[in-house]
Amino acid sequence: MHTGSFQFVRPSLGAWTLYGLGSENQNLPGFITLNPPADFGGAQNYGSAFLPAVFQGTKIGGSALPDLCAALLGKDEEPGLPMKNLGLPGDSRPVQRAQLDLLKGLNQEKLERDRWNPEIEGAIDSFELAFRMQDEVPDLLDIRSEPEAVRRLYGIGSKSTNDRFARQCLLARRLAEAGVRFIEVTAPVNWDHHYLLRDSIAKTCAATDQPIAALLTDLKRRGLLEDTLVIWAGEFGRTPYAQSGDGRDHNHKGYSLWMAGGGVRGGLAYGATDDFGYEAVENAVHIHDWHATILHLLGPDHRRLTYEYGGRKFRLTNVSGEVVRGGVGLATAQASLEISPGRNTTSPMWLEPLLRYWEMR
Amino acid sequence: MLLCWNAVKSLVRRIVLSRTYRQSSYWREEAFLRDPDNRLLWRANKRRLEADCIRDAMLAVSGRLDLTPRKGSLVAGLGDKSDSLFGFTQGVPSDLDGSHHRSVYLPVVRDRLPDVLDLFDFAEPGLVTGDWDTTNVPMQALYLMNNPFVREQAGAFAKRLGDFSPDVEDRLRQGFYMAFGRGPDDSERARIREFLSRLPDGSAEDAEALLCQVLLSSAEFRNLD
Repeated sequence: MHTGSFQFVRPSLGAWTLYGLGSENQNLPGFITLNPPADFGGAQNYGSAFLPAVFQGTKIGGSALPDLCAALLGKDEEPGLPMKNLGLPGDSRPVQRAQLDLLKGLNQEKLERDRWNPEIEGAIDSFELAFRMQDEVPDLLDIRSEPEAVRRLYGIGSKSTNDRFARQCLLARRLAEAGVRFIEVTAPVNWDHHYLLRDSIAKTCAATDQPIAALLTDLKRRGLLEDTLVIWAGEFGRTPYAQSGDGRDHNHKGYSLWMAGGGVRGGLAYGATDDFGYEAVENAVHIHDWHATILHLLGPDHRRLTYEYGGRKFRLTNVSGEVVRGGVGLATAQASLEISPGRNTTSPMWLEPLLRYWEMR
Repeated sequence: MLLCWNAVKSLVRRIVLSRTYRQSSYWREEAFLRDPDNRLLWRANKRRLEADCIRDAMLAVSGRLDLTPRKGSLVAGLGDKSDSLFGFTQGVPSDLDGSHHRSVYLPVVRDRLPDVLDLFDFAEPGLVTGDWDTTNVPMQALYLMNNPFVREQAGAFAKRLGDFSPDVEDRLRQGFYMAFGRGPDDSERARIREFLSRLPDGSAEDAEALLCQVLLSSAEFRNLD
């Protein structure tokens, strides 16, 4: 789903997007991933592989703590872990500015001696950008400045359900608004219902339903939805037959996702499974087709967005992929927001409780 | 061609002893105008240090470099737990570092590199990489500005210079020699005086640690001429 290949390390969808479209906000990273899981591919899910490192996703917040643990520790700030190296609370801006002015002076003198050295020029620019980013990012991540009505729309502070996904969605809107090109959000919920499906799915839906609806409403209200492509996707579907009594197993043969905004024609279901919901039989869309469609909506032609590595040109869609014409309009999007509705793990059932235990330290 | 080890050795010897190989990277206007990319090797190429060398160089000037191999792998601190727990367990530092051993002893885990290697374009462990990238991104600058490891080395560097001489001028010259292999020129001295005058009144030791951090963060420190 992320890279178009499960055998090899390949650039992620976000990295390709940034490589193809560049960034709009010069004070922020162009590709941000909120609370990505550290396992199941980890950093490869937002990595740049052979594309230059500047296109890799910047991680904000780590793997979310499990709900129970977060409640116990009182550690439920969003995003979980802050972006690294943004400076310490005790730091003094004037002192750091003095340091940077000296540094800039030394680098400029070096550049004058060298006469021509792009590496030094790049270093001067990147320190200035870092200094601005350091000021801009904490404010951007602070969702307390949002009006109460907006917070309520997302369900932030609602007592009935955990509001972590709500805060992530609001943060995603702020990032999109600030001009971040590609944003990925991983919902802090688990859809891997091998058992106790009836109870768990009700909870998972309750935790995600209002925030995602609010995100679409909010984007639309601000006029952002028409050029922001919103993708809601997991990794695979579930079987139509039961497992362990009241659970469902993984199903890679029949599976759906939805897209909204940025050039997508709304109110349309594309493709269908058989009568049992077991297997896609009509208009099945391969991952490469899906990626080709996403790139099409964002602008680049998937056949022409290439990068030379190891002696040949690579693309996100390898050597295939057809744009799905039935579901898309003509408009193109400026940004992309990918929501992974949470983890749908491939680990064996018995591993689940263990993993959860480990994550709690 | 008959390729045996001796032939390779003599070939390498011939290359490294050649006038072309031993050139400096010194600027020559007339050569640059004709061959700006240095395709014809009119000078040595300037290049940035690789990730591991940047870290080792910081440890070398701070005097903290531990040349002994570390005992066992840092990853062993995880015990039998999942590598998804990096950053969550006490056993393993979140930057996958926390030592003063040479960078060659840092762990290279498939999905997760130590921060310093990751930031400075270390080869992706899941790929065959013939040529390392050299990027200049703000995350590197943030690391050099704020990371505790860098600040620690800057502090140790300043302390080392403090032990070297009670005289400010001597310390500055020694600091430049250690970081850049040359002394400061007059305009650099002036810039540094101005920098020190801008700092709020505090201990002189702090000021010199801040200055040392600037030296470690400078482009000259991580670029080979």
